[in-house]
Amino acid sequence: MNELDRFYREMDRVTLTAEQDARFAPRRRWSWEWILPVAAAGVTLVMLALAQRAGGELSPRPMPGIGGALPMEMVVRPNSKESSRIDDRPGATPSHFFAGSEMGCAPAVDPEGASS
Amino acid sequence: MDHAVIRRRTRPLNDREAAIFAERVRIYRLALRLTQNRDAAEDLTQEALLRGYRSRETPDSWGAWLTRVAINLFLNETARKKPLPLEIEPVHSGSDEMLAIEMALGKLPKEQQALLALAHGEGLNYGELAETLGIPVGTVGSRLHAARAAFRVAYGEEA
Repeated sequence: MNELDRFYREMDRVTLTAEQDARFAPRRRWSWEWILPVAAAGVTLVMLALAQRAGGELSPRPMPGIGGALPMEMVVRPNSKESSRIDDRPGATPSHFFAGSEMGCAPAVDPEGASS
Repeated sequence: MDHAVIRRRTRPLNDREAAIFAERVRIYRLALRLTQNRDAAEDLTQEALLRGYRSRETPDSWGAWLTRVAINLFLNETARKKPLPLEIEPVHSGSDEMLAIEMALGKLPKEQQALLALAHGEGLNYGELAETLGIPVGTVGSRLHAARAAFRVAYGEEA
C-alpha cells in the first residue's frame, strides 16, 4: 500500500488561497450591505400603507373595462349620472338637457304653461 | 478577491469559531483525497465548517467531529449528484502512477474510498476509524482488508 500512501501524501502540499480562507471563515451575521436596503424597503412599504390608509391615491387607477392605465388627462371620470347623459347632438345645450330631464326636475321652460 | 473585501465579509472569531477555522486546511486536504476535485473539495469543506459554526455541540476534538461530518457529506451528498468531470489539472503531481491510482480509486465504492483515505491519508488507527465511521472496531479490520484488496485489483487493471 505504499503507492496509496504516496498518492495521499501529495495532497499534503496543498495550501489555501486567501479567497478559500475567506470562504471557509464564518460570515458576518449583520452587515450594512444588506441591512440598509432591507430597512429602506421596509420604510417605503410602511409609508405606502399609511398613505393609502389616509385616502390618498398614489397612482391613477385604470377605468373598469378599459383594461389599462391611461394618462390621467385621458381618463374621463363621470361625476354624476347627468354628466354621462350629455346630449352632444348639434344644437343641444345643457338647458335642453335639463328641460327634458328624466331626473324629475321641473322643466326650465314650460311651453304649455306659457300659452295658458 | 481583494483583501479588503475578505475583511468586510468575515469578522473576528470567537474561541469556538477559531477552533473550527483552524481545521480548514486539514479538512480541505481530506476532501481533496476523497473527491479528487478542487471545486467539490471546496464545497465539501465549506459545508462541513458551516455545520460546525452552526452546531451547538461542544466536542472534545473539532478535528474528529469535522472529519466525521466531511465523511458523511462525501458518502451521502455526492452520491446524489452527477459524477464530477475529470479535472484538467490533477490534484496530484500528474505522473502516470498517480493517474493510475486516481483511476483505480474511482472504481471503488465510496465507503472503501473513504476508508482508504482515512487509513492511508489521515493515518487513523483502528479505534479512530471505528469512531469516525460509526462501526465496531472489529469490523474495521475486515472492511479495510476488503478495501485494500479491491484497490489492488483495480490498480492492477490500471497499471
